[in-house]
Amino acid sequence: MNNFRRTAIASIINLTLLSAGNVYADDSSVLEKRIRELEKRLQQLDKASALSSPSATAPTNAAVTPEVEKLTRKVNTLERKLEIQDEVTTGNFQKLPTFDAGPDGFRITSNDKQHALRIGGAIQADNRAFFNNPTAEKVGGVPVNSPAGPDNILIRQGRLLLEGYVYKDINFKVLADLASTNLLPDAYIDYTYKAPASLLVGKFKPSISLERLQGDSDGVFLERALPSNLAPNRDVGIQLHGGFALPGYQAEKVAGPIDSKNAFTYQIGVTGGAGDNGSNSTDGRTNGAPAAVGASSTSLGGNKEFDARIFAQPFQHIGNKWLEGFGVGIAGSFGNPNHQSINKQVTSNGQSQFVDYTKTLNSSGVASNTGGVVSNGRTSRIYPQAYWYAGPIGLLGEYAASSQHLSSNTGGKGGVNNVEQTNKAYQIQASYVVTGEDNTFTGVKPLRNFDPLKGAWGALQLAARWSELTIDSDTFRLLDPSLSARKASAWTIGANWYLNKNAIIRTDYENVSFTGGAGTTTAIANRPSESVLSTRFQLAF
Amino acid sequence: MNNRVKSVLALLVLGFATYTAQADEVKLLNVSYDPTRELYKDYNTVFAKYWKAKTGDDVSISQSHGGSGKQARSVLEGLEADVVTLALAYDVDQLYQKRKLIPENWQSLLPNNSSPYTSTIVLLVRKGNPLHIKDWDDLVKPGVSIVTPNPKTSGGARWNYLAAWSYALKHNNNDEAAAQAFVARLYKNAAVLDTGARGSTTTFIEREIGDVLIAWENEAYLALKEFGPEKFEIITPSISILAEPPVAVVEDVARKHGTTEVATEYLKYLYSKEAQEIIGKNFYRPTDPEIAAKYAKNFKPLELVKIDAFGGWNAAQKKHFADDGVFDQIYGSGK
Repeated sequence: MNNFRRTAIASIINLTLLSAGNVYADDSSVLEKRIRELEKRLQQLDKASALSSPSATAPTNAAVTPEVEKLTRKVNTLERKLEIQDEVTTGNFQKLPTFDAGPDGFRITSNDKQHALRIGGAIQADNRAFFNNPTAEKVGGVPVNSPAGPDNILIRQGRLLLEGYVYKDINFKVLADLASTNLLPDAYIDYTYKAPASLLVGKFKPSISLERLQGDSDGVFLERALPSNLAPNRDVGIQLHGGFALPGYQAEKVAGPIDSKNAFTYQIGVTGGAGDNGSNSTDGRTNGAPAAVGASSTSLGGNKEFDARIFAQPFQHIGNKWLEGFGVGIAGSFGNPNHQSINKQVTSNGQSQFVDYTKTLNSSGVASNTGGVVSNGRTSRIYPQAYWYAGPIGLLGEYAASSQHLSSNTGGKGGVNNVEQTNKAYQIQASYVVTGEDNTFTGVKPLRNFDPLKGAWGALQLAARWSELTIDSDTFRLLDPSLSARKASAWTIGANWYLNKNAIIRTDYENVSFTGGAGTTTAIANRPSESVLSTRFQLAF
Repeated sequence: MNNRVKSVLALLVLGFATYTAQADEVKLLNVSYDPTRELYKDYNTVFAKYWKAKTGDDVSISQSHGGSGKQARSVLEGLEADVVTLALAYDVDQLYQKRKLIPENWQSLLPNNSSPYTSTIVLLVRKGNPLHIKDWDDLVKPGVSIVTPNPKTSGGARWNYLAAWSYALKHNNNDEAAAQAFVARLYKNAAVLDTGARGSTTTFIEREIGDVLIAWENEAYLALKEFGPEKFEIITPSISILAEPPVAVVEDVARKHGTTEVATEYLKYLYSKEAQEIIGKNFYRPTDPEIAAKYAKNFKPLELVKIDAFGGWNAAQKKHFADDGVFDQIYGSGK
């Protein structure tokens, strides 16, 4: 067969195959049939060419060449058109954003990587079983204030998360919690232009308590320890933050108020001042309540709270796994609230109130249920903190001292209506991943996801914790000591079963014992200890 | 707000702003149209030496090339060009119209309406000119296969189109309908519409597709230089268009990069004698009268129509190349 003809027909077959790449899968069987027909025709032509006499059937070059040349040019033109079409299509496809769905949620990223959005969420379904009968809680015949319990099943978190960035460096986070009275825990913009200096504005966790800064889904226990009672939960304000790397390494840009990646980090912020265990809402209300009459607004413009934190992981990249995971730091704050309401202090896993700032004493030292105690004057906090992670082992500890000036509207015992209070708390927790995975500040990632039919069981972490909170004794010149405890001491043991990166089952047993907080003002007794078994099913992505 | 709060807030913001104001190493990105690769390769070497001698600083220039319209869209979509050197003023002006990346009066900031060189459109045929192509009307004959880029993406393609339109107007007593019919027949003979001028050159020369390439004058001469006059010939039509590719500093980006000074000088230096020599050697028409006279013998004389004859680029773009414009009407019906 003439080479030009064979080349032309082969080109047609190639073009058919090229265009097959652009056709939906459903049409591929049609194309395959066409290709088989063309191949059959080619074979027939070959046979005819082989059988026939060359001198009788081979066309002369003069007769064949122009037609085949024309066909070749046509084929070349078609090929070139397809190349241009592919170039345009590829260019268009390259402009399309990429969509991704996986353990990190649902992600959309622009083709130039300048913009991205991640959609995530968290669901926590808890069961709390108390080893005491709340209706029977009486000490000396007097009912206990806010007794522990009752048993309950609840949705602790029902969160929807939107976070991402625009123009590469302008990060944002919007976190809604439909299971909480604090509907919008986080809403901020963070401009991370350079690793050492980023500006965060909005509602976020003030950088004070180390355990509070841990992700709400990442902690070792169901609830944070007693020192978290002395740190604000969420506040509205502005923060300058940044991170530095060790010499020879490059610092990473990290968005948000916590940075566990860089060797040295700092945060300096000005916020509305949410108070101990408080959260400012986006409209400037503290702890969900409007400011008291005569009090100044807590929105920007009134008395603010300043906080600062530095944290170091000085042994990063040292090559020694026993030292690399060590981090130590200190945080502090000061403010000057004006008649700011004080949030209740609660036990960790039981979430029952054991310090009630609305239950005061009058000047005769008798219980008074009118008025209340507010924070009015200078406040300050100091929070040394540290953690250590090495392989499956994890340790975390922090100490908190929170000072504030208390004022009572009704006047306290002996006519005292102002006292200085310094509450103190500390915790130490240890955890161990039995299945050998790395223990980290941001959680545990199983080596093998739960798949029992394949003999994979996820990861198991065991943990223990001791924490204490001591209320300044001067506080009880204003507060009724039979309704608020002076001290709470808690020990907790827990187990966490990580089915995969996103799904966890946690179980804790916690026992809290109290000093004071029950009986009468003349015969103060200890509030009954609280024992609670809590279980949580959690999915976070 | 009390003074303490104000002071702390000011410190926070000042600390942040001071840190971010640090300058980086001097790098420029020149986003250009398709056929200027060789020109800017030569020019960038010369400019870097000049800048080093003048300031002691090193400057490295990266190039991006593609269809002029496509390049403008890339800059609008975020490609951080310090300067643009595109094929036509409309594409550069989009940077102002759509995103205010350049000032409104950008074209008056440099001489000759910010065009340091000009060119025109000619015809490239195969050696021996087998189809006897002499002028535009030979391109619309049956059996003639032409190669030209797509006016939707390529600036050169728009110059090609307007050159053909100019010819048709002149030879039909300025009858617009006749000109449209002529250009329709022209595009009916188009074998392939590449996205840019360099792509069309590749199609014609390397893939040997088409009988005539409608090309930038400089592209045609480069083809002769690279592939030899024994393979191709340049046919200078009786009438063509004066193509004035403009240049501009993308001030918004240059300010952000801290490169305003070097980017401005990069474009200004295109008007220097040294740069104009490079322009002439690369087969563009220099705007410096002395250098232009030196290279004039390289270019055959022809009647050149300016874009003003079409009411300027905004009017031409709107009428011919916008969606549902004349090109969409004729190319849709010509398929």
